[in-house]
Amino acid sequence: MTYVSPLLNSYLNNKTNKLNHHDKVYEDLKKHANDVKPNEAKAKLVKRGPVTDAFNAIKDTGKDCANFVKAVRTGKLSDNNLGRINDLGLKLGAALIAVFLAGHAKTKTDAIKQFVCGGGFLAAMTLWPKLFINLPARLVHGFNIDQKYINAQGDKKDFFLDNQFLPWDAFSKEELEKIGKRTGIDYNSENGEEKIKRKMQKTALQNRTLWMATAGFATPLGSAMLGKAVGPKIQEAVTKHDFEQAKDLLENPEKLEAFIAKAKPDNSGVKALNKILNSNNGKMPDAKYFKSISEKLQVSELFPRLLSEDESKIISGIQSIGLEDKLKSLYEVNATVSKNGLADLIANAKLPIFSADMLLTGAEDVTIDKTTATNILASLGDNISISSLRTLLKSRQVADADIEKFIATLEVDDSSFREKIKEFAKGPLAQAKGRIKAYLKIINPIAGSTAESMATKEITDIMLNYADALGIDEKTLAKAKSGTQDASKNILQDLFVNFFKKQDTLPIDERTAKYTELLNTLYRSPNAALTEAMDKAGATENIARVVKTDGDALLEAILGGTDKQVNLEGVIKQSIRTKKVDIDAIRLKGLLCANMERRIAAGEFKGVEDIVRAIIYDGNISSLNNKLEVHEPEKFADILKQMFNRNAFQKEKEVCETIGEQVETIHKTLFKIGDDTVKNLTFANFSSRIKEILTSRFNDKAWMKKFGTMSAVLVAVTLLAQPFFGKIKKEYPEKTQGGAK
Amino acid sequence: MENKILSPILAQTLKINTPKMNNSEPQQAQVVQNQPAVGYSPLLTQAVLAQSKQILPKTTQVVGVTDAHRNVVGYKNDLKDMLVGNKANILAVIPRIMNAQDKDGNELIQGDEIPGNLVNAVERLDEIKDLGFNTQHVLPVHPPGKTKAMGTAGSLYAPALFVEDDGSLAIDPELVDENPPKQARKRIEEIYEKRTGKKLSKMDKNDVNVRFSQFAYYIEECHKRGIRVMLDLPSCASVDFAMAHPEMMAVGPDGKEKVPQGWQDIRMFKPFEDEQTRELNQALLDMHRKYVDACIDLGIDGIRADVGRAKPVEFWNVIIRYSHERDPQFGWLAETYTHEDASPQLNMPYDRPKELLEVGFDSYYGQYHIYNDWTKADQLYDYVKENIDMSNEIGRPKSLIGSFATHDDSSPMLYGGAPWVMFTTILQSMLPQVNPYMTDGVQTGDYYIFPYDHALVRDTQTDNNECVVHTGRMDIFNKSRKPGGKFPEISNVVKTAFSLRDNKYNEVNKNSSVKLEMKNAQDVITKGSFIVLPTNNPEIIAFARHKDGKTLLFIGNRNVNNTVGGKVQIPGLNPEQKFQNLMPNYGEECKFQNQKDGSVVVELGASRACVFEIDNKEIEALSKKNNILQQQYLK
Repeated sequence: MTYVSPLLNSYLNNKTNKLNHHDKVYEDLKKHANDVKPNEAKAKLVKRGPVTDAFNAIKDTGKDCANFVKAVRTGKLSDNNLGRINDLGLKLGAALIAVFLAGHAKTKTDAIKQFVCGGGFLAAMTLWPKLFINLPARLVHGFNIDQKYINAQGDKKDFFLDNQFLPWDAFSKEELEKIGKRTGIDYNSENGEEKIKRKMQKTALQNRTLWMATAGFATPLGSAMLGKAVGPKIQEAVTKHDFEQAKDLLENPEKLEAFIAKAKPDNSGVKALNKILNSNNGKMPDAKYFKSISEKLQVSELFPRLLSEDESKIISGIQSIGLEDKLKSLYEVNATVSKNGLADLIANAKLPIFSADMLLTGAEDVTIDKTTATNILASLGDNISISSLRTLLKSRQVADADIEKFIATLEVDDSSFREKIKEFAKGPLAQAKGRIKAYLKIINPIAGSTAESMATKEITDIMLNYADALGIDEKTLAKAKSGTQDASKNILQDLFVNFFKKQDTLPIDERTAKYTELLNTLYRSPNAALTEAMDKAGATENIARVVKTDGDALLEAILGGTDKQVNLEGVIKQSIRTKKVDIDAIRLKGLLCANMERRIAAGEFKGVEDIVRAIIYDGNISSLNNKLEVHEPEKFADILKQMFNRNAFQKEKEVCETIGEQVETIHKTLFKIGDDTVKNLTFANFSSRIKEILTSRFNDKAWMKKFGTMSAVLVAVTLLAQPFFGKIKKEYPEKTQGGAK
Repeated sequence: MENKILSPILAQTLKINTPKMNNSEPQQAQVVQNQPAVGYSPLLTQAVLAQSKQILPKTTQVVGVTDAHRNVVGYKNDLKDMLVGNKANILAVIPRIMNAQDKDGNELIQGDEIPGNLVNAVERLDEIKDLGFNTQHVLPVHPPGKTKAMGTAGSLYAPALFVEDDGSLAIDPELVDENPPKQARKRIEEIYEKRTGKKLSKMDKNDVNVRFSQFAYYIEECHKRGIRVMLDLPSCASVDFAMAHPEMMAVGPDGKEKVPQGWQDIRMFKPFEDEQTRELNQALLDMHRKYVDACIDLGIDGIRADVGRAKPVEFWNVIIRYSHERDPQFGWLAETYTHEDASPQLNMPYDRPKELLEVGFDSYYGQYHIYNDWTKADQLYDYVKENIDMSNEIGRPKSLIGSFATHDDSSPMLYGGAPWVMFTTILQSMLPQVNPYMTDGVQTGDYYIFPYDHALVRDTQTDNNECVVHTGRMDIFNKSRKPGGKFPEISNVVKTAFSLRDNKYNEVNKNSSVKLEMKNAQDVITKGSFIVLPTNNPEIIAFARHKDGKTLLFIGNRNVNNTVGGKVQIPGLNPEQKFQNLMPNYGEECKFQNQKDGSVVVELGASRACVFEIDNKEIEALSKKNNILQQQYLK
């Protein structure tokens, strides 16, 4: 055995302990494993609330705009921000589309609705998930399924956007614990945190799926219902606003003057006019030419654009007095022929000169020879107007027909005439058109037939009042929708007839009381503001600002001259007056119908009930041609006289004091018995109008019922789904012990 | 050479240097090899040696540098320094296909065709070394799981076992060459005998020591050629492993195992015993400790951690530090990309590259694999800046690999063909903070398109008869043909680019008319500043690398389809500077015209990349500060 020093031996014997050095190091490292901690998560949850949400929405949109500019300039943008530009495009696109559609809208209401409904669509898109999915989910499950967070790159994202990846460390332990308490999971139990996360994940996924499934229905439903609900309100607001504006102008002459004065000239039609003017071939034009020019200078074409078709027909009755003649005169004054060679032309034309002496003496035809022609032309300049030439020739006893024939052969320079007409069209006429348009902007909100005029509103309100007063229900509405005009006449008739039938069983006092009650519900007092405004709109001093011609003969001719039957002033007044009468007639219609039915029920008009009813409900007297009017005009007149006898309206007078006088007025002014054209303006299209209104009401109700039900069902299903979300399968009883499965 | 023990006291007496394990620890007994046991007297020496044999167990827990390291004269593990110093040129290899012999041309190794193994893989090492690769990323070598497997050989990333019962690394028996060549056999037998004390009678693939020996042999051969070996540590386990070791596996609240999204054949580990307190799973930790021990024992130089984020920082804090206790140069590469939510995956924790680098990883993958999406030069520069800033913030140098195409990505050939591969090779060779990286086969233009894609075959080693393949990617599920393509010119570019990085340019490119003047291009590339050069065409990549007055210029065309032209501003450019491309020419022609005003007008063919040595000492001083990036703390 080899000798080994004890010291060395001892050392070597203890070496076994030292060989586990690495084990010791390892154990030591394990003990200090948790000396390092993971870095703090860079993802941060975004705190929200209604105010911060609104603020953030604006801020985010601003950021999106800035990112868009940056992307265009530098080409640099993260995927997330690039995706967000889509949202910006959506909002901007919606706004631009609304602007475009508004620009092409026929009415102000339609124009405003483009923005309201466009905004409504976007709002529905945003609010549907917020109010009906996120909020209930938050209340039921205790967390925000629309939680946003800001990631490491500073991008704001939806936390639950990608269900496969959820940056959970953005949630603190406390937050998860709180959510766990809400959902009945103990954070501190085994796998507690994981269970809470899974539940949140599932709940969020299910809710987002629900959102996707319902958004396609909810958004269009929401925006459509919004449009339906606000449409009438917008129209009412626009009507009132425009009416007040118009009224204000009419009540303030200076304002009105300024308003009309700053009206932009209307050059519409100038191009077409120029085309016609330039179509003449350098010869004396025919009557057709002047007629074409005359047509292009009319103002009645303004009206169809601004008023209803009915009124445009009326207004188109503005007859230009002698415009064609004036145009021709103007032409002849301004169009010239060259003096050069004219004498020869005159001589060659062999224009026969007529003299009384020749007739007596039987002298042969004498024509103007060249010498004579030269002489008579001597006093004139190089370019001779047609009118001067005509005068000259006439003075030489040349017959008109011969003069016309001769002038037709001449080369005419009408550039001056064309210039004058063009200047007229661009100048005084354009200004006059501008003034007319401006004034129509005042008339329309008051007395127009568009949906946005106060007159239309008044008529609609009156008719709706009838519908409400007479208790028109859905069945009758359905009848009105599906039926013809006859059907609507029968509805009112049936209602009145039934009313009086029911009266039969009642004592007289009650009958009277009921009848009075009916009259009160049927009658609507005149709208004083509207009446006043209409009067002002038709006032001569106001219209005068529009129709002034400043002595321009052409303009005078175009606007109809002083003939109040057909000139612009007269026609404007007539249309306003007609509208007034219409309103009055419709307002009184209920009383008239009630009166007639009462009298028929009392035994009056025996044998002619049909005629009376035909007149009072439908008012289409022309349909009665086969019945009475043509065959027995006197009897017809008697019936009318009896019908519209003011003294037969005592009962109705208690409700409407002036009904007696108004009935007579209606009778006198609007029924012209014996005329070929029987005007039935009193009851103009009452049947079709009320049918239209009732149909619209029916459709609205049916629509609201259908889509309202759909919306309600959608909301109910969405809300009721909430408690079923987030259910996690129970753990397998044998859980983890068995190893991999 | 037998193990010799020298007591520290004796060593001190005899004035022999011994490595210190830990300053705070008392001097421990150490194994010192290749040192003659210089004794005061031969008798004493003999006595000490005889005594030590009696005390030490036969299977020695090797401490410090291992046999494999020691057996290669002059070799020293320096992988850590290589990685952080941006000097590693890495090739990713799969031993089971590396040198496979496909006879019938169907690209699937079946029947009597020879698959790749640890011995025949050595035949490729000279070729790999010749190209300039100095590091290998060896994809997992463990026996794959057979249950619910993907592919007919099983996924490399679904190991059935990590560590054998005896503590050695679990190696797939299929990687054993049962009939190695004579020279290899001799060395393997030596290793085997040293390990077991017994003679090797048969290359039995079921013998763990045979597997150990063959792998050790392979590693040794790598080291002989100056190639470091970095082994891939899978982040998850196969179904087989999970069934056998439920204590290590992650389970959801519903009792089901956690499966990483998209990977149905593997199961996730459970890194925490208690996630609330962040107490680590001891069984898992212990297994990984053994794994590190086994790697170091084999001579492996470092680990590439698959899906680094699958385990928390606390875990790596133990394992990485432990590895450095055993081998201070043990390198760590993390598969981690960038930002916490850039690569989301169900059941996977978030990606935190900075965290992993702070806890000890030397290098990470980064996001160069999405370079195809960066169509503008600024996007590249921004990313370079991001990484340099991160490294500087950490306070110790950290690097990336040139992850332009990893085994999880499609072959770069599919994006832009051979020119694109050459472009990215040159680019990643010149970028700061990057260790160039490619997968085996790319150096000759492998498309990784396999005709047997999803075919059903009769013979399978798993429960799956389908040849599952990720089209366009290296096959990690089946025994496929040897990687390689038909574009050897790519290798030429690889070699030239790496030679520049390794200060061997003139030596390697003897026949080139272009000579490199600077002596230390490696320093310029690995430590120099990165200077962005303004251009008027966003598709032109132009930057300079500068250090100590030496400048290399990179100008490339990022467009794979078209020639692009533009002007590059080069502050301080010598009006007489000529532009001679140091890289091989390929594809379409490039033209350079010095405008003599500090700019050069260029016309670059599709996917062309050029590198120039320019005489420009003032470039850094004259460039805008914003355009200059410098990685700090480099040694």
